Amino acid sequence: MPPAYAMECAAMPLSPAPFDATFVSPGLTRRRLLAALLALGLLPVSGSPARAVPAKAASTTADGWLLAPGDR
Amino acid sequence: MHIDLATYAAREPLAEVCIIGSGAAGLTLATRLARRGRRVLLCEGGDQVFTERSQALYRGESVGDPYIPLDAARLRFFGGSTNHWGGMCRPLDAYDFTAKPADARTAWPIGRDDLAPAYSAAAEILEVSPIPPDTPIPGLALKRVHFSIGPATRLKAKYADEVARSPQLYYSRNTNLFGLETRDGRITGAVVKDYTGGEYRVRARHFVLACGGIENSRLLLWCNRRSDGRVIRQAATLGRYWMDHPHATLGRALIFAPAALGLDASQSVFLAPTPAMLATRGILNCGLRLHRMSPEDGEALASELALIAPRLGERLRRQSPDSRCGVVLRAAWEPQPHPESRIELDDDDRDALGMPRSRLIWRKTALDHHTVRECVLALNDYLRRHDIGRVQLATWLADDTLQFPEDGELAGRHHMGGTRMADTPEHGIVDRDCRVFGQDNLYIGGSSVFPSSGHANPTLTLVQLAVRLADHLDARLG
Repeated sequence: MPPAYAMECAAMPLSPAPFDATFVSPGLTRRRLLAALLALGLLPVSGSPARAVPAKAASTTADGWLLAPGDR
Repeated sequence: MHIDLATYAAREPLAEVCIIGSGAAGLTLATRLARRGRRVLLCEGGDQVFTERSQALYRGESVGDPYIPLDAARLRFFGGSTNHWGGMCRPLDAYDFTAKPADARTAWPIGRDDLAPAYSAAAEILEVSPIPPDTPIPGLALKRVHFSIGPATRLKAKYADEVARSPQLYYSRNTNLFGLETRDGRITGAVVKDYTGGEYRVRARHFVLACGGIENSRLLLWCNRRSDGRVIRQAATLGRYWMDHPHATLGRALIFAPAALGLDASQSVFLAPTPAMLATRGILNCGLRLHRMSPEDGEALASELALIAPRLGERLRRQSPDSRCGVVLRAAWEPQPHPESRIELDDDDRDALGMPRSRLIWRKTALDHHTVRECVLALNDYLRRHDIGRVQLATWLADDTLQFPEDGELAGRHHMGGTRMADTPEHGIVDRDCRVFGQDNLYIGGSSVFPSSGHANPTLTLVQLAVRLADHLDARLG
């Protein structure tokens, strides 16, 4: 194993709290999942735009393209 | 040597190790122990070649998420599923053995260092090519990872002569485990059946069940029922935490600078999250695969993108088509280990030998969806920030509902879990030595002991475990 990854691995925090999501069901949406992850502290509150922006952000076209500002 | 089961059983010999199953784990164990002079009985339920009679015992029901028919996802004859595997190999990452932040149940009782001494032997058995170290990509939360691809070693061809000639290795085909006898925490005998109504009892000092990631659970569930729960005294997890690597197409991408991702020199590039990304995005491991399109398909994708994004299209028209490429984004990811994904006995449907067939209940979870989506978003983040590409999400990932594809490749046929390794019998079926809790001389070989799976194909790891188990048994036999 490369030393850099060994160090990364050693530094990785170990959470005693398991992710306890239910199986995928029609009632469970991405928004509710993200809320649950945030509540468990498993997602950063702030981060890159890709992390913070939900799937249906303005830059996502109807057919799934993730465009950058100015592309259109 | 090949033996006649009826003649062998009538003499009531005591093998040092009885191995049930001649797939990757069973053949590794049998040949390594026999080479050290151990008297081994190897029982294969099928024949030397594929037979419908044997394969039919693998039929079963799947009632969870869509899955490959159970008798199409594995092979039941000498060599097992190595007769059709693809040969992709990669060891698990060191952090695959740890409790990941997204779900602590990914932890193994052992670490990668415990398997490291078995690596070279396993690599020789499977003819694994040297695997380059993972490569960080500056600015990207994903790293580039590598596999040994091919030659899909057929263990049947590799070991058929050795099995036939070894004076220490007693090999019985068409020999199907049907029960285990136990007394005072030891297995005293195994009941085996042939296809003509013959039922025999074989004896050994140690027994190893190595029948694959579905059948190990099914056989133990059945043997435990026949013994009124005396084989597995704490069976709460038996058959549970079953896993396969889900496979899916995640979308497409147009890459303006293929060299940034290594796509200038390779037709396919594999990416995976770093440990830091596992923590910050709350995900499990994932193998993100970028498969380069033909130049024609890449340009069709560029035209489609230019129609939707005219200003970007202007830039694309000024760029040489040779300097960009389209890719299909696919993934094989680490599923969340969950007790509700499981193998059960189907009491409404029995096989020709009278054993209930397998019923598989496999369900992907919200964390599975989150894992794969975050990986593709991390790639998108990188491509947009450096302005070197655009991603198109597949519909199932772009929607705000947590759905998965219901057709296509679906999974890797990597059957794992069901008899998971744990520190205590409350949390698993085998201990760190692959020994069944509560039984002094019963072991499990194969990927059914995996508590979690990483994203790498499992065969190399399960052969490492078999090499390690052979060493353990040899030491115990003294």
